[in-house]
Amino acid sequence: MPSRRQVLAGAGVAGAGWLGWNWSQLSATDTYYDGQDPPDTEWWPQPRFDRMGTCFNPRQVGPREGVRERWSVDVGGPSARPVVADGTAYFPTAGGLLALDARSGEERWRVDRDQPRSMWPYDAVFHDGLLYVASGDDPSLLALDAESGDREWTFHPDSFSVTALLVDPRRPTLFAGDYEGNVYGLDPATGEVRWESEVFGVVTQFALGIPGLAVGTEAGEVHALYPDDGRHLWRRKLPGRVRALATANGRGVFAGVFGGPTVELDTSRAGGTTWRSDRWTSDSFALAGNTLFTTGGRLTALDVRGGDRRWTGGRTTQCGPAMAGDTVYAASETDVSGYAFRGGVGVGPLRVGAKRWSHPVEGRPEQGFAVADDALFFMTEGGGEETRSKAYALESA
Amino acid sequence: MPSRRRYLAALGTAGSVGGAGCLGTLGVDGNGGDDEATGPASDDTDWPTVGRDSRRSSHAPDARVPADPAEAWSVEVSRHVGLAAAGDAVLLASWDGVTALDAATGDRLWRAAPADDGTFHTVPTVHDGTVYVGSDRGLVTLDPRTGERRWAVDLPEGVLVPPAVGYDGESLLVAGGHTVAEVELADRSVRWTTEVAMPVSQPLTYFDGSLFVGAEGGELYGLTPAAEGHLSWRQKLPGRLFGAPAAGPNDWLYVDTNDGYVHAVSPNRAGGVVWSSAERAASSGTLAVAHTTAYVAGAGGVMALDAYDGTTRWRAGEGFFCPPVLAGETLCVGDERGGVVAFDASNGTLAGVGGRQRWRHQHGGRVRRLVAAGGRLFGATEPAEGEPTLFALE
Repeated sequence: MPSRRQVLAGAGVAGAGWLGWNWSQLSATDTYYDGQDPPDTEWWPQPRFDRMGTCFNPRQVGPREGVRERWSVDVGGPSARPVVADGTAYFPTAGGLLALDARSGEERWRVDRDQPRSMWPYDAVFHDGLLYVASGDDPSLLALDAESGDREWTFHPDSFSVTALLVDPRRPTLFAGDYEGNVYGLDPATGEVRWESEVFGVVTQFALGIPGLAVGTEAGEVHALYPDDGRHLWRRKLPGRVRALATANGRGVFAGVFGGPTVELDTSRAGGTTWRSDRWTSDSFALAGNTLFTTGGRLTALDVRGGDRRWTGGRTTQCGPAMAGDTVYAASETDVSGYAFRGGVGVGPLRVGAKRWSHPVEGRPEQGFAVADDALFFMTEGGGEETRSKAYALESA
Repeated sequence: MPSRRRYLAALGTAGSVGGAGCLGTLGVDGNGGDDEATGPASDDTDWPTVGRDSRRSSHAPDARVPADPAEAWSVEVSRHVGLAAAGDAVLLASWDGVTALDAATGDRLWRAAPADDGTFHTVPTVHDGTVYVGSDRGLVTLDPRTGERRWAVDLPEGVLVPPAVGYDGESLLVAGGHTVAEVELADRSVRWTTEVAMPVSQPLTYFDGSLFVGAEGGELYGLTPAAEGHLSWRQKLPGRLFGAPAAGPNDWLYVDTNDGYVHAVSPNRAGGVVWSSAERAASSGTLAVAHTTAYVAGAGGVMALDAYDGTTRWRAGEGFFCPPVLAGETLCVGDERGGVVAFDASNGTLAGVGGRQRWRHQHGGRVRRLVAAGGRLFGATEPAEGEPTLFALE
């Protein structure tokens, strides 16, 4: 595996190669992308794609001009965001974790109510052939063989639920946060606990930047820890439950709380506020270069250098956005849409051609998108008898 | 620690929140459970705890206050820490005991002194036919008819602030020092204890399954009793808290801090401050909250604030050091010149109409506590010289 520095150094050059004309679209004001590990993945291995929480694959690995349904299957309600790796899409649902063939939607295996017990997956992360599943079950962290679903190891923390996961693939570490605010640095291969730390509140999300591991909580706090030993760098209190975290090299930590605001916290000033926007998002941002997308109310593109609004798209619901190449994916109550990264043609908020396509779905999209294998993977929450909860794969039309 | 899941599973059985202590002749026909102690809407006119209910609304929707008040009685009492009224009795709490007086005559019904409990600390809370008092050692219960001690539960740091009635009226949420706890009333067991960073300083507030704890240093905590007191969030407010957080519309909490302003805090936003009042209130106690208005009384007068944005709807009078009491549509407050003043609490249909003074009754001393119950208004004074008095207006 290349070292972190090699990846960083190579990113600027390699980017042009990966992205073709897309990169030229991005590069006018957007500088680099370097969160991706490995740098050329076609998959979506973590809920927010990478260790930085960007939800952005610079490669156009998803549909651009239009979509059609590859498959859809009925599922229990969505409980967390799907991940996709090596041809398998993993869906955390109220009925357990489903591993489906990304091409056909066929079930490969599942961990559900019956084996071993009831389960509510809070997060699922793929790394190096293993799928890690956090839940309120006992044990509450499972490392499963991603091919077969067989258990490789398990971990039970001090509290009864593991609520958030993140993998750092460079120096392989699995970060796990729990209901009591305990944070663990684990060996992803064995589950051995390397360090243990504590933050305040139920852990909701991680984002790993330089130098710190940002940890968001239900208590509205963002803590930055040293990723090597869990020591505290700083903490900040925000006016709401932390719903989204992301970071980028050369920038601070972007944090969003339900209902707003979205803030950039300056890691060099102990988490002081760099800027503040009244926009908000659910589940995640999508962060590409100097643009940060939020989906609270409407899809909104913010300039990361001050939080100014670049453009605003259509109505969106509580489903974490994603981006691949120059396409931004967002959902309304009834549809999934692809937007042009630049927001089409126009000046300021006035835009023509921002939305490239829209596709109706059954139920309300929730938790967020995963983009891989020329398709968009997500789940919907049904409403009673008439509308079912479904897992979808939409591919290029 | 015990399994939280086990406890969560056991919780599903609970129903509505217990009665605010409808007592008849103080506890004889107490029938907790018929209405919501945590909601201001109950059809009785008792004032069974500080702020009247576990939301600390200080609002008695069905209470009437006299339109043309006359003093029914006035008695000298010892220095007091709290006042409550339920059934036919008024309960006055002092460090050295609780005294029950006949609401109609002011005659003493009984007096309960702490035994080996050290000192009594809290305003009595009347719930489901029992009087609950906090002491240095824990929670003490008294017979409402005789004042006789029934049972007590020891807690690590005592019960030093007024408790709140918990889910379905089946428990009391208590706090002393850094320890917050839930006491199961059926078997008198302590369900859980949680440590908070700063010593608890204010009456506890409970509604919709959440417990709110005001502490020293301007700290406010949100706890989830159903999850064994899990500390959900903490918030640092811009000053020391005065009084219990009062729950209002949007399920926001209204707190008054010694920076002089009122702040609205959203539990759904992890205790985030939604607004701070534009004008200084400089009050010295709990707010009253009803419908869309938060009322605060302070040295600078009574202010009615829009509960949604903190703007001032009206302002009247001056020199109040007494938490306001909202009885129906009348806001009553005691003043520093020995008076009780009643204002029209409505906002009026035209700007400037709200806050009209309905009457002022001169009693003497400095009126520091008021409660409205059973068609009467009870006041307690803290005069600069001489003995405090307790009086009734009817």
